[in-house]
Amino acid sequence: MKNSFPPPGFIPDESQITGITVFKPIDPKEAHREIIEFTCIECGASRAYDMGAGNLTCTHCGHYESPTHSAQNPRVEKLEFTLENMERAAEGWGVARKELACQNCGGHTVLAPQTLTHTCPFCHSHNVIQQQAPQDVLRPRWLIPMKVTVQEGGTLLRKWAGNSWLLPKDLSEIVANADLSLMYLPYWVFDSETYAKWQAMVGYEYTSNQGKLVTRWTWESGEINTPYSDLLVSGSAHIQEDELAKIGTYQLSELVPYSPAYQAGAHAQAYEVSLDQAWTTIRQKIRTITHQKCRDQPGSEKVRNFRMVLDFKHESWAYVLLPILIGSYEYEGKPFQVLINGQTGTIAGERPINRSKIRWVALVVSMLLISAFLATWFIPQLHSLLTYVLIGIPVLSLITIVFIRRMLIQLNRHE
Amino acid sequence: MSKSPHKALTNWGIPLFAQACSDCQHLFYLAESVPQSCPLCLSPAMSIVDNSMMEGHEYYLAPPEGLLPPSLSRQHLANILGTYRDTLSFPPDDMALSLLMKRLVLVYLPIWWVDAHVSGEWQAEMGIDYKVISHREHTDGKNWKTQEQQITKTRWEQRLGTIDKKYENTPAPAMEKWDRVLKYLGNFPIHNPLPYSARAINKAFICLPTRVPADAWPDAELSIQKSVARECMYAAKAQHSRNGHTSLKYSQHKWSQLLVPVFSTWYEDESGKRHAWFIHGVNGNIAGKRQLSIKKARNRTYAIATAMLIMLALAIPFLRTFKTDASFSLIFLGVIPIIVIAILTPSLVESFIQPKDFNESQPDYHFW
Repeated sequence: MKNSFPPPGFIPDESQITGITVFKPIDPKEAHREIIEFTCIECGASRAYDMGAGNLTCTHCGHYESPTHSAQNPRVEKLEFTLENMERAAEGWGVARKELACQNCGGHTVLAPQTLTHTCPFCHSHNVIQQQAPQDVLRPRWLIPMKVTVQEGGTLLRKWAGNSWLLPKDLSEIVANADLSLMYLPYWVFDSETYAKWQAMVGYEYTSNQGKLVTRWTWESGEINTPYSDLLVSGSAHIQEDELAKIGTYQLSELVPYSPAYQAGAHAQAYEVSLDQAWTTIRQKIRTITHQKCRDQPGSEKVRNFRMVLDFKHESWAYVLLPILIGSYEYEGKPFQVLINGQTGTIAGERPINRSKIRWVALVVSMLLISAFLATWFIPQLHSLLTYVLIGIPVLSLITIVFIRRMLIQLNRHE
Repeated sequence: MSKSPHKALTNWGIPLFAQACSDCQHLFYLAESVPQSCPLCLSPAMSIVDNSMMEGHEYYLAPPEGLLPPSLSRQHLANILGTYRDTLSFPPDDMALSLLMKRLVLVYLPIWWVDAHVSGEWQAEMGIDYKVISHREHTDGKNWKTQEQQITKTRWEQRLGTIDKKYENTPAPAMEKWDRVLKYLGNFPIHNPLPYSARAINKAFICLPTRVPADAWPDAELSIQKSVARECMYAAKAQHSRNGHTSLKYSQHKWSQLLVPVFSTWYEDESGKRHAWFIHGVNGNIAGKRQLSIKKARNRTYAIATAMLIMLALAIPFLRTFKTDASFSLIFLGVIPIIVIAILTPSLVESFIQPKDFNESQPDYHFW
């Protein structure tokens, strides 16, 4: 044993027996700082995370420095569903609203309990609020850095607003003035291995000696082992899951260890959907997929008395923040929301339709069909085409309706 | 015979004489000044040892610290001996229960108790159990049921520390071949013995240690190290440990004795050789060589063989009638003796062949 005791890296721990001392390794956890300000050391102005450069850049003089953690994409370490974690996660954050006095201008703002970042409305100074999580494991540990700037988001929006003839001509200009916010949304990521065992009566058809179709039922069983990894569930209750699904998936291979510097200049929220709720949602999805896989295993589609047992093993989770741009604009007094995937730039949102153009299209098609009908009716040389016209009218009408409907659906899907 | 009681014997509360067995080399204290036969190897007469032989051996002179009293009544002992004897087909005459009970003596065997102060450093990987929630989903094709299960897992973490405490009453064998005693009779519950009292050892043989403390220390040290490892695990709030290392120093050694009870009795076989039986004074386990009476077995063999011959002599005339046209009843009278011979054959084998095999198969209970 060495002369210096304890060796470096060990701190005293509570001992249950008198006469015996215990030392444990130091937990590599950063000291909690409640409020982190990002002011430039050169000029004192506010700093924000520069997505292009991957560092903190002063918005006034351009001075930059790198975040604490380098973005080298280490393997995301997931945590287990220990009893302690589940109990703490169920409690939620449990903190009251907080009042923040800006260190730059002195302005007072009241923050919502789950706010993680704040930009002073008076001087636009950026702060990251590190709320003391009820348990260390429930603070965000990984995030994907924002890759789409507000300017790039605006450019994407303008293209998106002008890429269909059904859209209003002035929509691009209106969208250009949309107020886009950079935001990090909370997500839960899950891994699990599953082992499913099923049993059912499977019916096989055959032709009997009398020429009748008979079904023979036999008991069959099977099993399926399937690993699942990186299953995502949103932890935000403010944006619906189906809305978020429209902006596409995130490449989780680009997750980096959390650093408050990445959030400088962006909004962020802590989770509102609990760990247990999120895991229940994923389990329901997994069991539906596994159920279908088991039903596909028998060699016949005739199945009855189907029973299945699905075991989850090595369940683990991680709490991450994923980037998104949220914006809104008004057209003819009606508000529209738009979401942009902060990693891939995929846009999702509703767009107003130029109804007069649709009316013109419908009118033109109707005029053409009526003209064709009248011509074949009154012009004797065209009588032989009447039958075709009478058949063609409903067919062409249906085609026109379907075409316009598909155009409308396409406009409201993600692009 | 010593003219005056041994001076150290007064420390034990009653006058005791030291007697030595020249065959098994064991030394005994007992309150009898007349030389007795050795209760362990059954040597006919031990010799009184002069008290000057004890001087310089403090651990012989100091009375024991603790004593485990026997918990078997005379009736219980009689039942144990009777059962052990009655499982034999042909016990020798000298194996009568009354004789076994008459020869029964109480022998206290010694165990070392050592106190030591332990100081030093330790380190180990500690396994800390924690519970993880796992899920199981059932469906009967229509409805789903979710079942939560708790699974215990272990995470391993490095721990180290120091130790500075006294370990008291760590046991160590005080006799050679103690492992054989434990093998045949079982462990002694030594965690809650009674304080030594002179009354308890009256009329008993007290066997003195054959291992000096220096020889017994490695066993005691091993026990202390196991205790240290176990307590460090408890101190760290862990449930498992592995890859442990210690750097320990021992001081303030104090040796004392703990006495544990064993009953001894004996019988003579047909050849006049004595065999000892030992009974654990607490749990009643018994061990000792059992020798059948070959003479009795042979007598029985002859009796059975004679009966079989008579049966055969009766059967032959009746069976001969089979060649003639005799009635069925006559032939039947010849078959009955054959059946009786068949029934007696296993007894014949048992009484002729098995006793010798049984005697030769008995292990040698060489405890000492």
